Amino acid sequence: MNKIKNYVDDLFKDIRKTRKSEELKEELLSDLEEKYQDLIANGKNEKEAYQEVIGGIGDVDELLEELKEPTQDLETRKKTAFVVSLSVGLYILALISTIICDELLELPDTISAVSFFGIAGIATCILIYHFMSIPKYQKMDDSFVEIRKEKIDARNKNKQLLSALDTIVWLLILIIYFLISFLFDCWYISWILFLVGPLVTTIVHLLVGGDE
Amino acid sequence: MSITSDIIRGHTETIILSHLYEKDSYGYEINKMIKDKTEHQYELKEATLYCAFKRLKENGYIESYWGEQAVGARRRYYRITDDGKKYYEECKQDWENTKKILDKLI
Repeated sequence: MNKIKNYVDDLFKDIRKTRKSEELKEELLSDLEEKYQDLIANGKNEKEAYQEVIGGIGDVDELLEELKEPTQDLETRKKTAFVVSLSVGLYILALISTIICDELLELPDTISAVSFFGIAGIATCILIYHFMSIPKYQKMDDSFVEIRKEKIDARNKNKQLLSALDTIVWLLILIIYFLISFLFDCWYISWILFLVGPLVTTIVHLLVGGDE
Repeated sequence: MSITSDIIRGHTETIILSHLYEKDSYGYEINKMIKDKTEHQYELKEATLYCAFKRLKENGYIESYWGEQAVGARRRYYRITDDGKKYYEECKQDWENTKKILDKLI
């Protein structure tokens, strides 16, 4: 009997625990166990009965296929890849535009700083908007497994938020560094801004992730 | 035998509906009925059976519910719907026609 259960557990080991998959497993197990009992009652020995039961299951791939990862994750991942590459492209464009304004067109420093700040700002906005609007793990039904999964998901999301904030803080510092340095021509001292970075990120972590 | 199996497999859904037309039932019971009626010549694989349940359910021909057992694990029962009954009649008619045609040809 336990051997059958182990076999079924093994069939479902790569399947995400949802109400649907757990119910299918329960149904399969109860059918197989009844069949096993019938075979024993009809004079088969345990080994024969076990083999006939397992042999009778057939190819469950098609049945289990749709219980695997939902496609929504894939779509979100694709969108993230697009947003991140777009933003990185914009950051590079921001640097290029600054160099063009400053070196080629010899415009005042203010204009090159504004162009850098503007383009980098748009990129940052796109990033923030995307990561804030990613849907939370959608609860498919009310089983406890789903609820637990959602909790874990909330915790992971907190971590994601923190690392996104870190990135934003560092980018802002970089932007401020260039802006101040260009505007006031104080390169000799402005590097000190980079020492502020760890300070700010630590404070952010304390404020956002207080429960960790 | 393998040709017979193929033909029977093509009618798995009709066979299930035919059994559910008489009474609500669950996976193993349906399979046992098939085994008994065919005098142990034919039996469905569980995977085939559940795939058929899934398709029938998606098409609205059957519904499922959990039946509580006095002893042992609970069972998932299936019930035929009105659409399912209509579909069964169509399938049966279809099979009668197939039989007639094959009788003429073979």
